[in-house]
Amino acid sequence: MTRAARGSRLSRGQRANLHGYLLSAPSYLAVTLVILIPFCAVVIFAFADFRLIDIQQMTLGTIDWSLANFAKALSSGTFWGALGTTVAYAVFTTIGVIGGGVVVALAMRRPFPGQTVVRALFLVPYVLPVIAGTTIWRTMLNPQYGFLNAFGTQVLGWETPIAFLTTKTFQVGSVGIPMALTVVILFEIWKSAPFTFLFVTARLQNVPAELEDAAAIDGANARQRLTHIVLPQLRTVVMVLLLLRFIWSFQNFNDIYLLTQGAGGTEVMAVKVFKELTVRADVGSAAAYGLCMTVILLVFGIGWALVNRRKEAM
Amino acid sequence: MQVNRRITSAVGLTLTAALALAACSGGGDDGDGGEASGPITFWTPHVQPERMAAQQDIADEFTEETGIEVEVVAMAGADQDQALVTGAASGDVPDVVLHAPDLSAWQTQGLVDSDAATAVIENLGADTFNAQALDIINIDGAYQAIPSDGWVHLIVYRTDLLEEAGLEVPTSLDELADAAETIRQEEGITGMAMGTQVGTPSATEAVESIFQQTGCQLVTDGTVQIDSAECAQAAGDFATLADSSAAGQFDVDSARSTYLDGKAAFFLFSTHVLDELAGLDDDNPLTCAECGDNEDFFVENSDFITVLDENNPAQYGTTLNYVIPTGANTEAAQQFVEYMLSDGYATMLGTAPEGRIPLRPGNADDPTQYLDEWGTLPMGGSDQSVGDLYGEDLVTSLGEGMNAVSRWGFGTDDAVLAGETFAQNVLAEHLDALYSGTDPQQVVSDMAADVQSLQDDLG
Repeated sequence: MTRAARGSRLSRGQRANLHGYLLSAPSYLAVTLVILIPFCAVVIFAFADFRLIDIQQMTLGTIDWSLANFAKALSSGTFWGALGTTVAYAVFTTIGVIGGGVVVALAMRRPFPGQTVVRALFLVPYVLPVIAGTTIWRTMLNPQYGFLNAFGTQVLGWETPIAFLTTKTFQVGSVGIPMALTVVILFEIWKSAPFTFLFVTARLQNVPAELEDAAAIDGANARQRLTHIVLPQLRTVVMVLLLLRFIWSFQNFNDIYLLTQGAGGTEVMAVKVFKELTVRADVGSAAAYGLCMTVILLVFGIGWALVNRRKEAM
Repeated sequence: MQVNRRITSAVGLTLTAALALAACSGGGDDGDGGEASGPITFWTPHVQPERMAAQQDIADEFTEETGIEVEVVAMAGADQDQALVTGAASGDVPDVVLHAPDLSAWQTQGLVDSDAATAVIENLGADTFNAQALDIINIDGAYQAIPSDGWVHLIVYRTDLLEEAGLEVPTSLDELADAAETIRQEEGITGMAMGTQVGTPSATEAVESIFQQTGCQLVTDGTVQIDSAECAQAAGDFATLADSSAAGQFDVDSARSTYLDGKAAFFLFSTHVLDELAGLDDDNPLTCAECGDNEDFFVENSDFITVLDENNPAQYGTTLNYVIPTGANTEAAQQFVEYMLSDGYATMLGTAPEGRIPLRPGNADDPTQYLDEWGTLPMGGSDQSVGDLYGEDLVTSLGEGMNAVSRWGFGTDDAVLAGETFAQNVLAEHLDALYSGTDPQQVVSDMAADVQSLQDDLG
């Protein structure tokens, strides 16, 4: 009775659908548990007025809804300071990572002796665990024992060592350089340019040699071949990298926290969220900061999609 | 579209269920908090293996006496912040935490059981504690924790170098700055070694330590005072002291190794350095040229300034306090803390006597019992006490020094503001401008503006 009866109730298409749902159920479950529920919790915390100790007793019915967390964040100078730092960090790392990766990929395009070794070496920063990378940088940049400061004071004749990771503004003549911020940006470029390099190299290997040959026969010089043949082919991959890279940089926490703990004008939004949570034990405020980050990224993502669609249509 | 709606409603349901579950389990957890004899968890910031072993021994003795099991967990101060926040959110808190007095954030979020702490203090007798230490952990008129021990900052100096440069022992901050500058110019080595790295906790400590020497205050009765003339004067001296470094900006570790390398004349550090100066700490070996022949070089050629300026006897220091979190196994936790401050006290202080001056000097029967015992405790795995090495005078002045421990805002209504200013290194962020030659009055005005905006943020 069972099998035949069930078979008669569900059409073949419905059964296929059911199978589909069953097979994808684990992923829905995982997404719900590790993304949707925590995200909803963040939204609730951001709009609630509560003390940390009250979380245990919180239910949806008893929450004291309030915009206080956002009002406090948006009216505080540190929020806008952190936002400015984050935008500067994200923009410059994105430019550096993509620019650096593309340049190196183009430079290593034609085979040369030792190409494999050089390529592999270039990937080391990307493969290195972030804690190892930051430890190396911290050691090299240390004002007392660091290699760079020893070289600077003994060979280049600097008067005093430079505290690279804690100096907010370094004066070169009359120009102030945001020293610590520059260092964390350079670190990210050093660490992540290989990622761009990998993607761009893969794409370059698919650029048909005939196209360039044909252009050369038609009298195009090397620069023209690069700007008119090769670079346009990289547009799609670079646009995708641009989006990914900006989002990742905007949210970056690990490198910055491990290098400076947010000192010297490197307190980006992610570090600020962490400090609101641990130093001030203020979950509501941390959630509000986090949500603001999400909104900003969402706006950026939508803007990116619109620009991209318009260009593709052209 | 229909699928989407179904998913949305499913998510909604799951979420409601999850919140309801969390609420229920929250209620259930209270059950195990109430059992008086259950095992308790103790977080200690003394994480070095030999100190852990000593604390485990005390805990075992306590278990033998009371039948209450104790799990001793090694957790540094900064990790405690993080772990207590996540623990409180999930209802899993330790029962006793040994922590610095920056309790304002925890207190604001309701994480601290001040009734439990007050009961312990009253039971042991509030008059058996160091009054200053009790003031420091008093927020909103209630004790937030039970003081255990503490350390103060000392200015260590090289008697031989001062003599060589023809310098008197300084008795004010101005004189100290001048002396450090002279050393730098005449001897070519660092004048003052102290935490000066912009925006770091090391520099935050040094700023509070040095600025107080002119009577500078961060905030009094809710009014930010860091832009006062005293503070500007201190800032100017601080810049001179930082500039007297021959090795750039220091953190506490590099400041210490510079002094132990014989490359600094003055050195600002906590009492923790007393064993290291005698070469008793393997982790911080003596590396100076003279030390090879003479292990006692620093003991013989160092002296200490405890109170720099008699007019402003304010010593930077900190205390460690037993915090009983809300939701802890209160009764057992209280018993444990009382044991740690009586029968187990001397052993606990003995893990590092040079940096752990008792804040409960004695009990009702003998008001100085623990202070006296502490004076004879051997340092750093040796058989020598502070008194043996440096003389009884230093023991007395350290014991008394705990009465001069002064921290900006602690124990007043401004504790939250002072705590946040400290935790976020607000003042130390401005050292950058100070070092690059900005007028000290301008720097302290900028500091004041930042503290003011922090005060506005805190509401």
